[in-house]
Amino acid sequence: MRKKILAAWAKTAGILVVIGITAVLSKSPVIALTALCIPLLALVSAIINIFISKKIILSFVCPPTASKSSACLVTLNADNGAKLPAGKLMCTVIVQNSLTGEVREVFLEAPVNPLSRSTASFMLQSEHCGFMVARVKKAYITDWPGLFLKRIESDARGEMSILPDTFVPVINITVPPVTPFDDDSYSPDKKGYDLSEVFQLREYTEQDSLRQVHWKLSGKLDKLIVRDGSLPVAKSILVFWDRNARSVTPAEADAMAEVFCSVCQVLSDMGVRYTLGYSTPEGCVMEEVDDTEDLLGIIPSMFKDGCGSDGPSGVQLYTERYGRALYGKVICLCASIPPGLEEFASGNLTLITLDGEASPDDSVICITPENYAEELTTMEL
Amino acid sequence: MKRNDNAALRLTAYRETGETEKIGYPLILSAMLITGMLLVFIPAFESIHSSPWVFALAGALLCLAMIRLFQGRFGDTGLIGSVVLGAVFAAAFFGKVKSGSLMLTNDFLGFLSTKTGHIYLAFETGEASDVYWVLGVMLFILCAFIAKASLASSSVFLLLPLALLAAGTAAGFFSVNAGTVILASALVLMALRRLQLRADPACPEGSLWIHTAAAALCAVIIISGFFLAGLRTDGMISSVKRAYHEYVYDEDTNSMPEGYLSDLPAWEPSNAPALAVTADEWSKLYLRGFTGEVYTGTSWESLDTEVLAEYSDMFYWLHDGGFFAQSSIASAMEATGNDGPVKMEIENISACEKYAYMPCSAVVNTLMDPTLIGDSVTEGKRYEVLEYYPGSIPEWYALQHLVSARQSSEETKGYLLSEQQYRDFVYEKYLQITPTAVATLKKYLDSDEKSRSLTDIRKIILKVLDEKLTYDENASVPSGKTDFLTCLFEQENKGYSVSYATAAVLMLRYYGVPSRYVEGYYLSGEDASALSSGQRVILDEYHAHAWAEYYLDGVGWIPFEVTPGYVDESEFELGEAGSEGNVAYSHNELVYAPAIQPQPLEEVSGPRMSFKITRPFVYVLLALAASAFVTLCAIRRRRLRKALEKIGSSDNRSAVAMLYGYALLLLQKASITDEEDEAAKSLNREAMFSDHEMSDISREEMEDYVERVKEMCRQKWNFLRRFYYRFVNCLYL
Repeated sequence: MRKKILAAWAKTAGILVVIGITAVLSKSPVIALTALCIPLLALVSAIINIFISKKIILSFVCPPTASKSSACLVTLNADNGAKLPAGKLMCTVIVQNSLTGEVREVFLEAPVNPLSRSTASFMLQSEHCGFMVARVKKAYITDWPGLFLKRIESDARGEMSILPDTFVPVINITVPPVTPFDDDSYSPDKKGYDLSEVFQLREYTEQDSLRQVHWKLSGKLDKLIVRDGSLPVAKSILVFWDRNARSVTPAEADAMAEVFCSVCQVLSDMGVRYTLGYSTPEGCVMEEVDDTEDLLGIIPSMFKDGCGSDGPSGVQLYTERYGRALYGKVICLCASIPPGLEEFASGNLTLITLDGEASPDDSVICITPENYAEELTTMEL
Repeated sequence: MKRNDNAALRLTAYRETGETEKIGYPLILSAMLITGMLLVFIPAFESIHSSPWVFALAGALLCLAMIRLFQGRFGDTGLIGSVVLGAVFAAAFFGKVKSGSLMLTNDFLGFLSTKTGHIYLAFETGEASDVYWVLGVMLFILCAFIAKASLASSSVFLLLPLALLAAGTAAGFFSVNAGTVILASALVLMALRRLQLRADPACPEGSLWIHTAAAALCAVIIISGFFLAGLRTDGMISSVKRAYHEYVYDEDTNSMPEGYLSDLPAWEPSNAPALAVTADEWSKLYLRGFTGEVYTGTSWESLDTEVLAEYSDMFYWLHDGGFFAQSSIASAMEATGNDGPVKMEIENISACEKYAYMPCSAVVNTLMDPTLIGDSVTEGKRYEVLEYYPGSIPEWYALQHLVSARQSSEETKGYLLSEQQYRDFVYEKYLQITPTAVATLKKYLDSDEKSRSLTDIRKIILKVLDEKLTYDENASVPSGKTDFLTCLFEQENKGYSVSYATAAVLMLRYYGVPSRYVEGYYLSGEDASALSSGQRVILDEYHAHAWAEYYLDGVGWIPFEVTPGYVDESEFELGEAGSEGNVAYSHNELVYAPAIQPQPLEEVSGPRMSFKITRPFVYVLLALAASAFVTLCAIRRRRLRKALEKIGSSDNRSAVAMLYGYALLLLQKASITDEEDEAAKSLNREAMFSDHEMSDISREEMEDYVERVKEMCRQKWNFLRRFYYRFVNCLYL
């Protein structure tokens, strides 16, 4: 931006010099007056900008999602509610990937016309998945010759998710050989899919399946009542991403995101209902995933909350809140083996980590950003 | 694959194609338009002393500011606001703006004088710098129109200034210079831009410079073509003028060529009555009609108005003081205390209506147009009542002596003061002769430097004419484009009064005697003596005649008769030295009193006579602008009809699609954005993308939809907008 302003000053000075020389040579007061008009024009325009700056509203327009490595267009709109034009809008937009922590800036400029919308656009292309947040770092409007700047305050914000390129690991889930008939280990606070054990009764809503309708009660109460199934612990799966283990590079964050999403995607494709959890700097987020749609809805918010490295690990946060993970299978993804893992889960745990050594029984799988797809071709749960 | 984390997130500023030219084209266009217009406009006005480039620079900057201002929704009111602002400024500084306007008007009146040969009095103005006030207002308003036109790529907004410039250039007020080329380039560029926008609204930026270069080339070619064509149109223009003159003023019986000598035909007079003259007292009459002052080789012409315009001040003061050269003899008579004039009535029956036929010694002070520069043209009327002093050439020679003798009297002094000014003018302008004619005359006349008296000159001329020419009324002189005199003396050697008069005038001028060629009607002394007082005499075409006139110092224009059969030997002999009872005149040795230096002609302080700008010119300009506007509307209307006819004659599928497009256009113009009919949209989609023919019912449904849309638009628009879209923009019938 500084270069642009300097260039404008240089151009104006050049024009004034030319006009001044012409005025001296021709001894014409009119030409001299013309030379004075330009700085006067700049001054008047700069004063007008003081009023215009309060009427300019900035906003971003960007697609909700985009693929990795594909360029997408992000537009910054400048709506001028004033009846006078300004010279030009110059602004620096900062884009941050919440997941990987990458930050980039881009300089945009656009004309500012009266009572109309001006646009400035930039192409965004990321090799890493994540959640992109675009903000206006600095915005100024210039006077007509482009000499003076007036700052514009704006809290415009644009958000979009860069979805990961998922691969397709083959996941084999091993069911224990003996299942006691009276195994009543259901989750007390999570509903599930096992209708044989009623978790709760409630009124019918549109998305409920007809299989859930409790016909007897419905007949008695003269309104549709449905039952929610319980979640049998033995058959439940938790896919947990501990993002607080240590700080990660953008490539490691991208790799972990792809692994996590790929595993979840495959489970959804297999028709398996599972619990998805991930840690944030403040705590843990747990979501029930019934199908791919649920997963796609969770991914943006999952990427939005960045990875943290200070404070307790994700598993520690989980156990502090929920206690031990009572699930049949637990898949934990982490950058390094987090403290408190024993209290979190054991026996039913598959750990996917960037650090450490793989175990022969595949309870610990080590991956790197370069080879994670190959390492996770087949997973035994 | 190892990834480069540093380049993993890339942001690139994106610029849509055509964004630069959204302002680039209007900027270039407006800069060219304002520069071209000012370069043409400014040099035409002498009151503006600054360089036109200064104004062009200021105008370009102003256009840039206005283009920025007019972009967006503000454009609709910006133009009107600018005009209002300019008007308010003009009202606030009305005195200075008015003074400046009058200065520009005075410059224009000076130009009009050179074109019409009339005197136009200048308006009183203030300081010289006042002209910049009105220029500022005009520049501001003009820039607003140019900015709007550039943004819209439409020349509609420039119709009035362009019409004014075109009219001024055609009339010769504005000269063709670099500004004309720049302006023409801008208009061509605007047309190209408009065509391209129609073909492809998202046109690439690179075409801006290509278009500009193409436009400049077109303009240079067009202007060069006009110049080349102009060089060849002089003959055509004079032919057109002559044909117009004959159609408006002449009758078929007119036998005199009115100065047109090329291929002079034989004289074919008739008994058709030309003039009816009634006088209280009769004498030999030379009734002047056409007067030829400039010999071109193929014709006698009047002095050029641009030449005459230099003497506008002199003639203003001469006329204001009552001196008219057509009646200088009468003025001399009055100054020397002669008896009063007698009455004469002249009725034009079939003579050329452009001229008034008046005797040499007529009193025409009240009949001449005082605003006319020069005194050789008297505009004709059907019926004229005037006074004149009966007299003859010898009496006018005697008048010269009388003037000389009485030059100390107040009346004579006053008369001579004016006559001397006119005499100087005559000696400057009435000695013109072509080099070809000089070369011819040198063969027959002495070319020594010896000064000769008028009498000797007259004798030489008559002798030469007697030797070289034979009078023959049936003689024609097929000179074509060659010099008439050369053809006459070296080939034909015969002719009638026109030939004799032309030769005599040229020979007089050869010897340094100011002279001119005159056509009119002649009544001989013999015929006149047979007439009684108050008798009405009819002069027919047999009385049509051409003669030479020379300027007798102190008296005025005197006829010099050289045509055989018309020469009055008694007059010729009169004036010889020693003739008894007559004025002794050997040669022109009359000495006037020491020249009284006339007072310099200064403007009187205080207003001259009141004067108004000629209305016809304003009406012509308004008519031009109105006709241009009407033509534009007519073209648009025709275009609309053709488009509707095309829809009507198309097959159902094309008609449905075109009608839908038309409906969308109407909705867009009325800014109705949420009234799209789903059924119509579906019909359009079917017409565009299906592979089957559309039914007549579908077509009718679409036509009904269009009518409904029209009705919606009409309801939305106010009266002015309805009028505009119907009759000006021709959006619907």
